[in-house]
Amino acid sequence: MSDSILYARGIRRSFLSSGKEIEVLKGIDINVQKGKLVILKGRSGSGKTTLLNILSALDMPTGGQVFFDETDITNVSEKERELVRRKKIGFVFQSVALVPIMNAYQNIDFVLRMAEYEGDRDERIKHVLGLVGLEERMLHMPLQLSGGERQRVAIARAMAHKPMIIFADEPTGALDTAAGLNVMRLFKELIRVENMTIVMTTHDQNLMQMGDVVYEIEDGEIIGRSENTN
Amino acid sequence: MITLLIGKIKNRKLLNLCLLFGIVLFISVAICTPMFEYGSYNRLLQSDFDDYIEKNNREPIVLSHMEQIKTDSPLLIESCMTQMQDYSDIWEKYLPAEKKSTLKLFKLPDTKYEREYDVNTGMVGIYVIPDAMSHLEILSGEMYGENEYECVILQSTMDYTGILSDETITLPNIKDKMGTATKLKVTGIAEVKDVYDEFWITDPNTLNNAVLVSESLLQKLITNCNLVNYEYSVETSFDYRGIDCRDVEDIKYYLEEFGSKDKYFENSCTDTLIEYSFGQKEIEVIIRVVEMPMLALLLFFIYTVTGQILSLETAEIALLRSRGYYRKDIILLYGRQAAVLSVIGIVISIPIGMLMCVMAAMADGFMTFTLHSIASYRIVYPMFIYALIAAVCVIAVMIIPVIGYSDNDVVGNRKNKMGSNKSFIQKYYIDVILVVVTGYLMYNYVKQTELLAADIVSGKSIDGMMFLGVSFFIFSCAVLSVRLTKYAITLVYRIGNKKWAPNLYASFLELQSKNTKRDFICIFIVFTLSSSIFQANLASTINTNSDMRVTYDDGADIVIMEKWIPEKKADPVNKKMVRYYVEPDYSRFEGIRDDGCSMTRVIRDNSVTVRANSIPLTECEEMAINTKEFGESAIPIDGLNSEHYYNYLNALAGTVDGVLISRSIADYTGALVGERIVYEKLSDLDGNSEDNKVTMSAVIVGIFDAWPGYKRYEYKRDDNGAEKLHENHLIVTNYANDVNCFGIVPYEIWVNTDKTKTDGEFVREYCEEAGITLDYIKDAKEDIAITRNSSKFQITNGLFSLEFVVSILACTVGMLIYWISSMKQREMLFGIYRAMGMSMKEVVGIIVNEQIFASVTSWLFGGLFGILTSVFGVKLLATVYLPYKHSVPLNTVIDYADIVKLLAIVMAIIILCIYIMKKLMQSSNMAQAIKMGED
Ligand SMILES: Nc1ncnc2c1ncn2[C@@H]1O[C@H](COP(=O)(O)OP(=O)(O)OP(=O)(O)O)[C@@H](O)[C@H]1O
Ligand SMILES: [Mg+2]
Repeated sequence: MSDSILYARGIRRSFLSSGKEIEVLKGIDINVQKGKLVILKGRSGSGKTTLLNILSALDMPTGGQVFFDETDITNVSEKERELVRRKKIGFVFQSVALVPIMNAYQNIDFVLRMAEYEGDRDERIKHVLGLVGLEERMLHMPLQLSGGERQRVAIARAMAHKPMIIFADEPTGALDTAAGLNVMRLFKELIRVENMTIVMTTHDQNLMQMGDVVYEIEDGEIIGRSENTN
Repeated sequence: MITLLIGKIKNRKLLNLCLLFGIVLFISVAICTPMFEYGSYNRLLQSDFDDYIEKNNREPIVLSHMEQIKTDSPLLIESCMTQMQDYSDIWEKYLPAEKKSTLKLFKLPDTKYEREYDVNTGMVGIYVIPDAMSHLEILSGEMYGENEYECVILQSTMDYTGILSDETITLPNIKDKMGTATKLKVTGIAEVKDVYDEFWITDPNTLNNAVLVSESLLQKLITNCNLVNYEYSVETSFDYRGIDCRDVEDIKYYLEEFGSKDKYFENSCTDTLIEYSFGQKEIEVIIRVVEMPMLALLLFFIYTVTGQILSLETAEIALLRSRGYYRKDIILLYGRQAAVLSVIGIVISIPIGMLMCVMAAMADGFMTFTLHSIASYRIVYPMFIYALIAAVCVIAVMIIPVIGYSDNDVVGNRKNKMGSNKSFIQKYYIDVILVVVTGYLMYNYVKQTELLAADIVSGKSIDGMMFLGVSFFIFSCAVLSVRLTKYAITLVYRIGNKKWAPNLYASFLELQSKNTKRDFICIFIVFTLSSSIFQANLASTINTNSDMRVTYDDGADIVIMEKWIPEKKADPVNKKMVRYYVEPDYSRFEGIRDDGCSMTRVIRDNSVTVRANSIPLTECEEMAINTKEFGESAIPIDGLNSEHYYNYLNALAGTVDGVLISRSIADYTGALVGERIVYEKLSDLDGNSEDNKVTMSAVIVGIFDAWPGYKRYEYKRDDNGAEKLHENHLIVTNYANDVNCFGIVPYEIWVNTDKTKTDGEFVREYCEEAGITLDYIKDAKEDIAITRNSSKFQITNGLFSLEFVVSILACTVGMLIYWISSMKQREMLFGIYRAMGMSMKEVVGIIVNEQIFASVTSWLFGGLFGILTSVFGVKLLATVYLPYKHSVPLNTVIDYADIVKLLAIVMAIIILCIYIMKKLMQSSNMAQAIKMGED
């Protein structure tokens, strides 16, 4: 367990919905090891996104603990959670969420500034854009890119500041199969080259076998965990 | 998603409210215009009448017919009276004014009288004034009896002729058929009962030699003495207070008609009406040109808000289009919305427009108001026509942007957003071109300021382009400031490029992206601020200069002239009585000095003939002064002459027979310092009288351009209402020498009340208590108050204040809605920033930074351009109000206190905006970190 980077124990989350309390997560334990591509799968409404939000310090669980980089992030101030998100985590949102007033280059520069990146930002930006194969598009505004290209910029952005972990909620959801596969290959590549850890959710059965670890969630509970050793 | 939608709908409700706000302001200003014009014209008319009364001490509207007649046989007074009544009736019938009263005078030509115990004789007029006795009171004696050879004289007649009550006078030239001269017994002395009595259109005291008799007696004299020469006059006064400005043209027409039908017809008001028409045209131009930018600004506001709404509804429009709606359907849809808003707008605007008018009417300085009568401002029916026209304009302005948007489908939508990062104006340097063109236009006017002033004086109507040129220039500067702001942003951004914190980095990128709406708001702020600074400076320039001119013209803070009674003595050489003056005790005035005032005696004579280089100049003025006291008592005139004022006084003090001459004399005659001139004036020495002129020689010790109380330039109105320049000449001599050579004559006393509590009221009371009768008193403070009341200036101030209030309102609302909606539009973006770990504080930092580089820079540019335009152009517009050439030249006065006030107001609005935005962010879930699954 020494190379565990994220460890969650007994995560519960309930929402108040029209006066009624519904429990969406019913005690989840999860352990993410460094350098792995972890996939959360499950039917729609099973609680994948809710879990991801809690793991990435965007949401607080109703019960349970999340240890990230050896700190219990459910038990620290909002300011510290902000810092964690800022420096140690990368996000890939489903609908991309590039900043529309910034071009590809600036979008990445922005994240580097947020994380107070130590090295040469320009070099890093070009490097990560190179990784996603969009170096020559770096001055394009988001609206001038295709959906797949945007997603790739978003991935480059998510990893640019060398976070310890990247969370991606259905990164392939808006893409066709080929493009989705491309994104997955990119993830594998990032893990190899940059030594990242990635936690993502997906519906797509075709992509499952690309994960190192796959958790299956149903109705707020983990009902299965499988490891691909290929 | 649902919260976003609700937010959006709420947003749109707010925007529609703002739109309505702009529409209401626009229609209100339009409604206010005719009402304000009407009231202003009436106000001007009344103040012109008041001026007439002030100057002439007489009813301003009096029609009269005065005739001397000679008949073949004795006339019946009765029939003459009927004829007079006929004249009066015709005037009353046609003139659109209310008759006040009619005064009929019937008299014999002045005739010689002889007194019983006095050899002195003179001339009297025998008058019949119907109904006079009920408006006179008998001071001593009693009424004349009907048909008796009796008469009553007025007190002024008694003073003038010396005839007393109970005396019998003989009229040697009025003899009956037997050749006996008529004798009249003076039964009493009468005086006007009530000086404010409307009956006395002509004050009978001004007749000086009136002897009143009964009609029956005069008829008897006419018949018995076979008199065939008579004079009669009929005067009818009309109520000037009830005259409506719209009737002025009619009145002018009828006066002309009466004049053309009756060669003895005269009236007192043609000059006043000509003056009014002249001023009315000026005011009309001013109102139009001052309102135009205000209306344009509001239309611009409506246009911008409409654009904002449309940009939020592009998706809906695209959807409608894809559902098969035609372009015209969409235009119709928005047209309907515009019509509904306009109708609501009209309803709300009627009371608001009236309120605006009342506010503008009460202004008597830039943004200073006093409660005074606004009775001349009334609802006039063109208000409704203006409202309709305004509504049509509103609908048109709202439909124009729809035409562009209605063509959008989903694809076009995306293409649009990808457009160039520079606006059309920026790309083609249209702003720079505008500034150059309008700047050149303004420069041209400024260069011709003196010519324009002369045009105004000569009665040409003012050129509205003068005002508009300034507005255009300010507007162009406002457009340019958008570019300058962009440069400033780029510069600051570049300076710290690598080091900017992420939030500032984001906000700089936002600021650099094209945003037409934000540019509009900037233009709005700059324009509003610059124009109001300009207007405030214009007002202070006009006030300060006019105050200075008034004080200069008076010569000292207070100038008084005592009424001197001349002594009489017999002149044995010419065998006649002569008048001469003895100086009353000057020390009686000492009390005025108690408070620490300085004062001095100044002899003034304005019928001096000056001869230099054998060129004679008649009607020059002479001022004889005590140099030292004069230096302390007259107002200082530093900077108006080539040399210091005290050098002139010292030069004069050093030469007993020295004289200072005005530049005008030097220019006309070529006289130089050190040369001699001769001047000639009436001497009062040796008890001389009307025709004893004495000539003196004096050496020129200085030539001045300006001198306290010296009105070098004077204007006289000609028949066309135009004023012609006339130059006055002045020589200044030593008081002691003048008295030695010409004797003592009544002098003015100039009082310097500087830093003391003494004022005109005090001096008046003091003199009354000391038993001093004043011929006149000039009080600079009072005179300043009167000139500040000028209608033209007040009306302009009202308009400027209205413009300021309207633009500040539009500015505030425009800023608020723009910034709030821009924040709501970026709600999602802020959420992403927050998700990435940006703190709330940093997000607020984005907004603050944007405000600094959008609002605060606009604020700075507004101040800068306001001051610049003032320095450059205030003088130009000030000449419209002070076109007359004056020894005190027109100087631009920049009132920094006012500027600071205006800047503070706008800054307060900016801070309020930031505050509201901050509150909004904190209270709503705006700027909550977005979660996955919410994007
Ligand atoms: N803020 C919330 N308030 C109330 N209920 C919520 C909230 N967020 C999620 N839920 C509920 O929790 C359940 C799990 O939602 P979640 O978004 O985690 O599902 P998911 O597994 O990501 O589904 P999908 O595959 O469709 O994205 C759903 O039934 C949803 O309605
Ligand atoms: Mg989900």
